[in-house]
Amino acid sequence: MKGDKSPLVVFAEVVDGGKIAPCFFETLHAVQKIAEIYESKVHALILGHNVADIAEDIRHYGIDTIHIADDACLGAYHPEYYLAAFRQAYEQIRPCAVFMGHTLQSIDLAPRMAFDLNAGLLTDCTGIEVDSGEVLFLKPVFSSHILAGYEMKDNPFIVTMRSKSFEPAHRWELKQGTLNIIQVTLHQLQAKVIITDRVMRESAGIKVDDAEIIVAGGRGIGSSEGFKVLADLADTMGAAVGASRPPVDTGWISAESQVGQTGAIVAPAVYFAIGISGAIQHLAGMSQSKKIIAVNKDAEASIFKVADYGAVGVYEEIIPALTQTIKDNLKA
Amino acid sequence: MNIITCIKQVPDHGAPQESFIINILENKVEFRGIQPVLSLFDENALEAALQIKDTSKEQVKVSILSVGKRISKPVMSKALAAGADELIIVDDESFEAAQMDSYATATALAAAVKKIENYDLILVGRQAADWNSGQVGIGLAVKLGIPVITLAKRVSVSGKKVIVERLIPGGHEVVEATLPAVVMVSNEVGELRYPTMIQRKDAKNKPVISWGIGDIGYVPGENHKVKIRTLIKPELKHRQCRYIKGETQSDLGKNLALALMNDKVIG
Repeated sequence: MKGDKSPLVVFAEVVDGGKIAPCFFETLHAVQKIAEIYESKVHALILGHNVADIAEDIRHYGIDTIHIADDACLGAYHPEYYLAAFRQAYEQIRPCAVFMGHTLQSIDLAPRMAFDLNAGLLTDCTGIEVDSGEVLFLKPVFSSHILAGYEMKDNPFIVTMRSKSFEPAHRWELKQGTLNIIQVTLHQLQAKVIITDRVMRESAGIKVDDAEIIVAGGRGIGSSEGFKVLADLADTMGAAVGASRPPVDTGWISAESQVGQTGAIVAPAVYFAIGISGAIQHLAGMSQSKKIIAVNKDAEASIFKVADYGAVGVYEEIIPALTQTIKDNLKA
Repeated sequence: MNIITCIKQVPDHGAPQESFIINILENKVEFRGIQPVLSLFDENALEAALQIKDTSKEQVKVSILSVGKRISKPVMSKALAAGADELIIVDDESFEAAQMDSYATATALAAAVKKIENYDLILVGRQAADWNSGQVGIGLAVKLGIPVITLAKRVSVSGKKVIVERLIPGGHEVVEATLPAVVMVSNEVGELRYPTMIQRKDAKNKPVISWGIGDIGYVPGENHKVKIRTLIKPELKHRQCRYIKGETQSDLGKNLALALMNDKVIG
């Protein structure tokens, strides 16, 4: 990468029909640091439909050029349309590297881009480090027991970055950077994969990604009924209900609730870990929480090692008493 | 219908940190006293295959394909015991984990799949439990020139189509593709079923096919796109845990609430 003056491109993922994914700003911050080292330009790339406002807004973040491919075929994510649009944009921008947040979308898109470009790809990067003038990309491997530092050998390359691993980029009062419209032709594409339906969950509560307080349960909760006890506590505090992987596998709770290496990466003000043993894959998703409260009947559970407060006992009795005491206090 | 499930053998992902040793001279990770196991999401992929076999009206053959170095037959026989029909192993010393990036693995798997020839659906885990790269399924599909669907929480087959419920933020979408296709499976599919004693015994009689790299026409390459430069063991930041006391379980709950409110953690 060193010596290459072509730009570093940060992919701006559009979510919820018209917002930039929050992890874009974190990835951008990391890339701005890399750009300082290599004296590179930082560009952003937005693929979507009716995204002019979004593009205008990210001019506040000190990006040199913001490329926009706006097409009706890009309204919702479809792997083949997005890949085709990316490839057309790539040919115009010719970046030396592309950076993306590690999201459900990039889990699908980044490897397609990499194999299409015959480019190297590092997924789920959690940090960067400079080693003899070269940037190394850090990634936890082997159940997060080992942190590997990777060198990306050839340009172009692609890196996806885990959310909450970097501080968000600074928002400047001043807008700068030029907008560049990229014309893409997609309508003639014959997609091999057809999306026939989208089923959004009736979200009963707050999402774990947005929550200031999370009440999460693990295998120790034992049933979907058990999660109702947790939901009561969550409701009392305006919190989200989360889970480690086993309750999702067994269907006690839906997949969106999963916190951990392959679920949501969260860093709320308060995280209740109830009936969660503390497997390292789960800790990878929540250990940045400001305060961690563990409730577990096993006093030896490793979750207590990362907890600020601990209660050893059965959650079925502890949590209702906890909930009631908070409720009483709110009334008083 | 023929389903191929690609399964990787990995060092036990539940093993403690002491079991993972960094060899600084060769810049690689070594393992002390860890048993190999089936990679977690690959178990989910096999479960998805078996769910199709359970419900399909037509005859379904589930083949396990594993590419690697010194593949343990007892480990793979767990997959046979759970309900797969045959095991195909491509074992070669050149499949050294450190030498196998996603490109090399996808290339080797594609070569093996081409030799199998007769397949309708290929199921793989969304990522491996060791390096967590999550690229091989897509690479395999690209090399075979067939469609790929990722992040599957449910997989079914109807006629010549695979229908997948695929995870998206806040829900799922229903996606279909014409067979043959690759589907990358996530844990929401469910844990791999537990074999009975009889199934374990029967597994010993199921066919095991062993190939070398020459049989599949794979040539190991050295052209790596990413290179590991450093390996460290990160230290988990331990916190000082304040244990709440109480006479009864409900006292524990009450005292925990009072401590949290008193310290302005909540409320």
